Formats: sequence, structure tokens, C-alpha cells
Amino acid sequence: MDSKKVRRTFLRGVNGSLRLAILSAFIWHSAATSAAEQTPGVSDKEILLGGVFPVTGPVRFISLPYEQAVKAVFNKANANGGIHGRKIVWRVEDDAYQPARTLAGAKKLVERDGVFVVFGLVGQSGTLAVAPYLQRKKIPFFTLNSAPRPLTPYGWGTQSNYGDLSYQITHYMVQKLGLKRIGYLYQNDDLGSIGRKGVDRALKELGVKLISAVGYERGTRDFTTQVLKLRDAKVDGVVSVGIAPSVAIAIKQAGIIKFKPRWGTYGVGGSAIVRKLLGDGINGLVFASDIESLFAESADSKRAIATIRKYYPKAKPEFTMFLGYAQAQMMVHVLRAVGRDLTRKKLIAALIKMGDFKSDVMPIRYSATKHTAAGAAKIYLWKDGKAVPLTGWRKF
Amino acid sequence: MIQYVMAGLAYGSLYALLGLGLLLTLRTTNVLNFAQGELSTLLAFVCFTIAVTLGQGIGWAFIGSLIVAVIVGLTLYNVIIFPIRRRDQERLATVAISLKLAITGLIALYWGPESRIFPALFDIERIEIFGTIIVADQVWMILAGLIGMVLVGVFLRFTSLGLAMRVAAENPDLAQLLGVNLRVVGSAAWVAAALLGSVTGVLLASTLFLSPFMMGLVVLKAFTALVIGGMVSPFGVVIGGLLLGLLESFVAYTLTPLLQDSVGLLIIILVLMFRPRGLFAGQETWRA
Repeated sequence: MDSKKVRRTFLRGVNGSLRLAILSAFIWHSAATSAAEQTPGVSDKEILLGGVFPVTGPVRFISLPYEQAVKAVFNKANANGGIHGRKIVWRVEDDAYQPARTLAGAKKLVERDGVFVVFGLVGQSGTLAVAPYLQRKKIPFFTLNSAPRPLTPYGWGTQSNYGDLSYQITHYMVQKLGLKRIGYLYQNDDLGSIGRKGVDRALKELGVKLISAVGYERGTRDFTTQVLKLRDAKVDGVVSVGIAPSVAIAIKQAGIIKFKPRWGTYGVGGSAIVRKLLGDGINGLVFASDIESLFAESADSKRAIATIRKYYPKAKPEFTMFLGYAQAQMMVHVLRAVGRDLTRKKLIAALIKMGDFKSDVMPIRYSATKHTAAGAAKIYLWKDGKAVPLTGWRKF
Repeated sequence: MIQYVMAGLAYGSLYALLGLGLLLTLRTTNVLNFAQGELSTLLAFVCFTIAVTLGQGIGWAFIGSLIVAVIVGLTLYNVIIFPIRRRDQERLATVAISLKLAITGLIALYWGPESRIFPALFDIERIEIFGTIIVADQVWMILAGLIGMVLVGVFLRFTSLGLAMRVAAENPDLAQLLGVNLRVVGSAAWVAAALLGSVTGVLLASTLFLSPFMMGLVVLKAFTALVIGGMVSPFGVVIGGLLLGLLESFVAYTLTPLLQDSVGLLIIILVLMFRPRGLFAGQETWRA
């Protein structure tokens, strides 16, 4: 072979290699660009959501029905073809109702699993613990409680502020039931202090003075001295804000010493656990709820229960079941509204634009300035073992 | 005022009963049994299952829970504690904390985390004396507390096993030289603690509701009773429990119920600061 031929063959080879290298670089670059643009947790076939809430511990009776109802709604959506062809996958981490573990769980979901959004936080303290982290990471999160303040595009709540519900029930007890001497029995933490704000606001509006406020520490099981204090203060109505068993035990112990004021409370008054623990003693209890009562036997609640039982047969009836149902219905609705091209930015935009959405069991409204789904409450009275609505939906 | 005193005595009796269980296991087997409250809860659940699930009367269910208490006490000591009895107190306490968490988890797993209605032990709900309503459950709690305390006292003072227990608590090496079987003594202590736990758990569950988490604050207060008693004297523990119950009621009556749960912790701090050997430091020998 002469030297010219060798050079030509060499250059042709170099040319071919160069072309191959450029092509490879182009393919690699395109793939990398595409991966960068791809939204975490969203693949062709799946949308990965992550929840972190108590799977163990003392409030499991709240989180279990919630979890089951959410699964029922997602199972139904998946059975009907998913969200624009993608199945919803929901991964759950246990925080045992400890805010430090909520944060650790959220970090796992975001950094290890790469979830699309954090859907399913239960507990105000846990929500507040993870909010700064998720906001920093620009990941939308959905809590069962009210949206943390100040509002950011990332935090979205479900239940109204307990203060709104304690306001509603206090207002109703004084204005409609004619009670004059109101006492307040509260759990000495965020729950009780937020509840107190609602009680104070209602009483101030109506020009009535709070006669007695009696607190107890979280975990208290005996309320003898608390009910004695309320009785000694001669109150004729008591607004009770605490976890469901505490509300029930206090009513029971008051009954034993023949102290029978009108008891009022927030949504827990409509819970299966309070009904079970009090038996007939529940009759006469009034409560404000931002969600349809399980025991109201309305067409909406029957439809919701039937759906949950169909798609998650083991579901346990409890009031948080309806909260999970409403929240998951909203999620499916908004994911569908975004369309096939799903990104976090577009999801937030869809939430802001959503406006009113009628879940079977809760009127929901989101907007740029309203990040907590619930915006109205009904007042119920327990009568003959049923929760009878005394009002329609009353806006906050 | 009488109602506050009754409530104080009733809950003080429960603290004393649980505290006695803590004292027995501590003095004879060197284990600060953090799982005593959960043991009570477990036995209350056993009672509930026999009474409600198996449909037996509450009386039989209570006897059944006492039998199970004997088995559980023997098993815990012989299977878990006895093999590691030579370890220091901190390690044994760590084992007790693990037991506490394990028992709570097992209860929540098997029976579920929710609260339940416990069958009433007696039909009477309240007793009215000259217009004052006394809660019947509180009377039973005080009576049970008195009976439990007397039985423990008689057992320690007048039975050979009780005597062996006291010797073993004072000086285990000497006890062995005297022919005391430490395994039998330890087993007896754990069985007695489980029996006291069963009584406490059943009483508390029937007064309030049955819940896997019902003993949380109660057992903390039993520890307070133990500290007041200097961790040595059964008499001191009983007085400590009753004093604490009464003090809680007094604080609730004169100040606010919000502070009543803090009283115990305050007392622990004060006793450890000023009377680290307890309020009954003169009675350090193991007396009934």
C-alpha cells in the first residue's frame, strides 16, 4: 500500500470514528436532557406519591381508616385506567406521630424514592416539621390538617383549622341552644390552644364571657378533677377539644357524678370511637364537622362508604375515613386536570385554578389564597344513636 | 372537697399497687421494670378477651387474668431476666425498656390501637352519702389498694418465701449461703408484680376505657411513689403513692387540674435533690 492510500484509509477511519463519537455525544446529551426534564416520581406507567404518618402508635385509630380510604380511592382510579394511562402508586413511611420521624420519613421519600409529591401527612406538628424542608425542595405536600402558614405554593391542607370548628360549635351552642355559661375543656397543646381561639372569638362576637377553662396534659386518662372543676364553675355548656377518647371519657365521668351540661365538640364528636365508647351516653352531644358524618345516613355518605368497601373491603369506618376519601378524590381530580404532561409546577397551577370541587363527603375549595380544602361546617346532634344534621354547610 | 379526696386516694392506691410491683422486682432481681405498666395493660386485655370475646363472666375473666399473670411473670423472669441476672442495673433496665415497647407493640398489633369499653366490675356506678356523690369505682380502687398492700405485707413478713425475698434483697450472696434459691425468689417477685399489675390494669380499664396506651402517665406516677419510698421500703411506696394521689387532687382543687400531672415530676426532682434516699430513709431494711 502506498503512503497516500494509507493516509486516505486512516482519515476515512478517523472520519467514521468522529462521526460515531459525535452521534454518541448527541444521543447521550439528549438522554441526559430528557432525564433532567423528566419529573421525579412520574414515569410512563406510574405516578409515585409518598405519605408519612403514624402507622404505629397511639393515633393509629385515626390514621388507619384514613389510609384505607385513600387506598380505596386510588384503587378505584387505577381500576378505571389510572390517570391518563398512569397508575397511582402510594408509598407510606411510618412517623409514629413523632415530628422528628415525620421529617426523616419525608426525606426518605424525596431523596431515596424520588416521589412526585408528598401526599398524606397526619398531624399538625408533623406537618409543621416537614414544611420548611419540602418548601426548600419545591415539592408540593398535602396534609390532612390545615395548610401551614404563611402560605406557600407547596403546602395544601384538608381539614379546617380546629379553631374554625370550635368557633362554629360555640356560636351555635350560645346562639341557637341558648346556653349562657360556657366552659372549655381542652388538651394542653396546639390542639387546645387553637380551639380556644375559636371559642374566644365566638363568645366575643356574642358578648358572652367564658366561665371556666380547664386543661389536661396529652395522655391523661382520668378526668375526674377536670369535670369536678367544671361542675363547680356551674357551667351549662362545655366545649371540649381533645383527641376522641379524651372527649368521650370526660363525658362519661361527668355523667357518673350526675354533671350533665350540654357537651359540644369539633369533628371527633362524629367519630365511631366516641360513639362506641359512650354508647347511649352520646345522645345530646353536638359537634361541628367540616366533613359529612359517617352516621348521618345521607345519600352522599352511603355512596362514599359503598365505594370504599368495594375498593378496599377491609376498611374500618371512622370519621378520618371520609377525610382520606375526600382528600384522595381531590388528588385524583387535580391529577386528571393537569393532563398527561405532569409536572409539579403544572400541578400547583391546577390547584390554584381548581376552585370548587364537590367530593361526595366534603365541599372543597382551593385557590391562590386558600390552601385548606374545607371551608364550611355542619352542626350535628346525636339523637337516638344517629348524627342528625341541625344545619346545612355553614361557611367559615 | 370530699370528691377530690376520694379521687386522690383512689388513684394514689393504684400508684401504690404498681409501685409495690416495681419495688419487688427492683429489690429482688435488680430490675427497674419499666414494663410494669404495659404488663398491667396486657393482663387487662387478657381479662377483656376472656370476658367479652370468650363470653365468660367478668369474675372468671379476672381470675383467668390472674392465672395468666402467674404464667407471664414466671416466663418473663425465667426466660428473659434470669439468664442475664449478673448484668449491671443499667443493662437490665434497658432490657425492661425493650420489653415495654415490645409489649405495647404486641398489644396494638393483636388487639388494635383503639380504646374499648371494659365490662363493669360491679353494677353500682355511684354511691350517694348525704347528697355527696361518690364514684363507686373509686371505692373499689381504694379497697383493692388496701387489700393488695396488706397481702404484700403479710406475704413479706409472715411467709418463708417472703422472708427469703427480704434476705435476698438485702444481700444476695448471704442469701445463697443460707440456702435461699435466688431463682425461686426472683420468680416469686415477678409473679407478685404481675399479679399486682393485673389488679391495677383491670381496675383502671373498668373505671375508664381499655387502651394499649392507658398506663403511660400512671406508671410514671408509680415511679414517683417508688422514689418517695426511697426505692427500699414497701411502706414508703404505699405512703408515697397515697401522698401523690392526694397532692394531685389538692393541686387540682386549689390551683388547676392542668398542673396535677406535673406534681409527680416535681416531687421526683425535690426528693432526689433533698432526700435522695427517700422520705423513709430510716427504714432501709426490707420490712413489710
